[in-house]
Amino acid sequence: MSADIIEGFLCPICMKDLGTVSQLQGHFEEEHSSEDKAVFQQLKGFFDKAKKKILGDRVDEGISPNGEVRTSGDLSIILSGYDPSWWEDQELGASRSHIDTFKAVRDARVDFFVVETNKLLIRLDKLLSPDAPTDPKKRKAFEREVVRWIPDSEVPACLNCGKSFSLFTRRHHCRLCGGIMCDRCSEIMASSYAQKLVNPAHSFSGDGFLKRSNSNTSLNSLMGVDGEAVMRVCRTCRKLLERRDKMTELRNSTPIIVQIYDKMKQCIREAEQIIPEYMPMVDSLSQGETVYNYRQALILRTKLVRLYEAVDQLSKKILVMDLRPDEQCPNPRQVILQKSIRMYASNFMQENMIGLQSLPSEDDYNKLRQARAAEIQRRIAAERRAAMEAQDRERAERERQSREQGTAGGSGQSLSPQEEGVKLGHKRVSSGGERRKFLGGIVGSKSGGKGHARTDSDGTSNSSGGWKPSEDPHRLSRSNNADPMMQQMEIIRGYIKQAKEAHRSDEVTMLEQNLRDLAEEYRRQQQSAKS
Amino acid sequence: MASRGGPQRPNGASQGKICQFKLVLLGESAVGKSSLVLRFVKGQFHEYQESTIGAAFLTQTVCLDDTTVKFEIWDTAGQERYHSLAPMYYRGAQAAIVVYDITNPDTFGRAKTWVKELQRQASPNIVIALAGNKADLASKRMVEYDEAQAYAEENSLLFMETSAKTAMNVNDIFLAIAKKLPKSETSGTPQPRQGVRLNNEQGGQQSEGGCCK
Repeated sequence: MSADIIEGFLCPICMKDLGTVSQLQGHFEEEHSSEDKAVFQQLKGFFDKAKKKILGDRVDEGISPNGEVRTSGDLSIILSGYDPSWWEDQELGASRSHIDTFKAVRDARVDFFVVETNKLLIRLDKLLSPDAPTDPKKRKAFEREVVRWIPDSEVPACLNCGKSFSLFTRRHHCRLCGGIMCDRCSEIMASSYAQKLVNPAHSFSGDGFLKRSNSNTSLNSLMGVDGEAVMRVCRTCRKLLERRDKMTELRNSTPIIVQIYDKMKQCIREAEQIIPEYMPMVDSLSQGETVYNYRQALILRTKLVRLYEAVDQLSKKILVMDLRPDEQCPNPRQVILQKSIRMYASNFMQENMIGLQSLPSEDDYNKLRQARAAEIQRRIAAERRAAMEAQDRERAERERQSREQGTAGGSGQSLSPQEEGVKLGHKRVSSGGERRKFLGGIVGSKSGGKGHARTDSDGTSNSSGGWKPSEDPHRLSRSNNADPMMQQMEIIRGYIKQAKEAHRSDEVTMLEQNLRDLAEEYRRQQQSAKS
Repeated sequence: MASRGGPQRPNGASQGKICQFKLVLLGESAVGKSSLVLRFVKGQFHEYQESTIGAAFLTQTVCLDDTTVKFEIWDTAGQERYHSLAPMYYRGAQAAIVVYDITNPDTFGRAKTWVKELQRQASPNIVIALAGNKADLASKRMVEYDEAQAYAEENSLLFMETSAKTAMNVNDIFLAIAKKLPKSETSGTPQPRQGVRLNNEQGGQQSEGGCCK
């Protein structure tokens, strides 16, 4: 019995044959995973080795000569009995922020530069003061008074290049720090540049420091080559001053991309001011109404076109702009920024350009207007006719009633002609009132905002902030329309118009969103109907 | 025209937060959905309310403690031919009122169907309220209060009997919904984004050169 050898995918614990590797693994994990981790690991390792053998062959076929290292690395992760997915994410151990240390170091550095630079600027200011002597001798004494010069005897060689001073290599003092260097290591600062450093309002263009020409070695006088006053400084001081100059310039000048962006935003803002004025005009004009002047709409349209063009061009300019041409590849963040700006601009235009196309041409507008006038005339006539008929019916009814009453109730009950006249007159007035109301409805819908204001003010609205578009006058004619989806879009368009007129921007946004959803849904329906 | 009564953007004002919720009204036709909203939004009641075409849109703002809740109400048409529109409106809605008519048991059955559809298709945490409208016609009642109440409890719905005509429970049901809606800062319909989003998904790339180059 002990000689019996069982073979197969046996579970090491219950000795069941599971048939396949995956089944065995599944079974083990389900039944025994808690019982013996070690056995499980061993088992896993065993199968992983087997897998390695099988997979290894396959990998060998695929790898390129230089891919060897990489694949073996990958394999070691997958196959060496370690599968990262077994482990939960390791918790981050002790961590420590170095930001404070970094800040301390940086602050010290910044302080040093700021203090040094300020010291230099104060000295520079004194040296440049208008009552400083111009006579070379006195000037030198003045300069030494402002800045303590290092005595010649203390410095046997140039502090910068180490060349020892002699009759030919003269000592020169930096007028700002008093340090000593040879002529070749000193810098000559134009005094107009110095003026600018002290007073940023002082305009200055060109190089702040003079180019050193070989012939100009004996520069003792205060005058530069072209007669401008100059000042000898050391390289350290020059660096400090130039750094400060650069910083002030950076702070004062906006980068070109920002300038263009500002311009673009300005255009968008202007357009956004015009659009709410223009859109109701288009809607109204394309229905042939005469509330707005057609010319005025044209003018606004031209303005908008110009603004959109500007936005388009500016955003394109931003898109292709190369901020730092000296760098090989542009900063990816900058590219993202430029693309986003362009996207924003084109989105803006897509959203708002639609209105531009829908303005009817002048001829069309005239036709529309005539058609509408005729329609209104026709409706007024129809209404008048209806009112007359109603009145006639009323009169007939009344006469019939009074006749009946007269016959039923005897002579005393009949109305005197006078009374009847009063009653009829009253009726006439009230029916006239109704007609006025109806005409008012037409006028109201024509003059948009006013119409809405009217309904708001005479409505018995008690709630604050509630908004409800007024009823659609064409609702009955529309109710037989074929597609409810199209119908709903039409309704929403009407609502949007009303919300715009009521300056309900939140509502406009919501409704426009819904209109987009509807259009999308409609498109989907049409597509699925086709396929 | 009166100044905008709607919520102004709070610029650090003491007004508290503003939440915006999309609410949809569903139910058989002629149960009083439009009347209910009209009462809530305008405080009006029309004896002969015309039947809604498609879906009507209204807004109303209510104040709850320190929160301003703006309802964006979609009053759908009850007629069968407009049912294809309903999913468009309940899909993104945070709240729904399913309305039935207490004098008509068929409308209660239809309301149950709507609730089922909402539970299946609408967003999973939608707040559903059941409104038994026309409570002023109690003499012609055909749907018992307890029956509807039991059904609402079973399905964890808010339940009230309302009357758009007498304004009974109309504001209450909307307020109850407002109270039940989650009012975290981010809830509600997201405000339309304006301007450029600067950090898009490619932002992970490291830009070269920090402050200390």
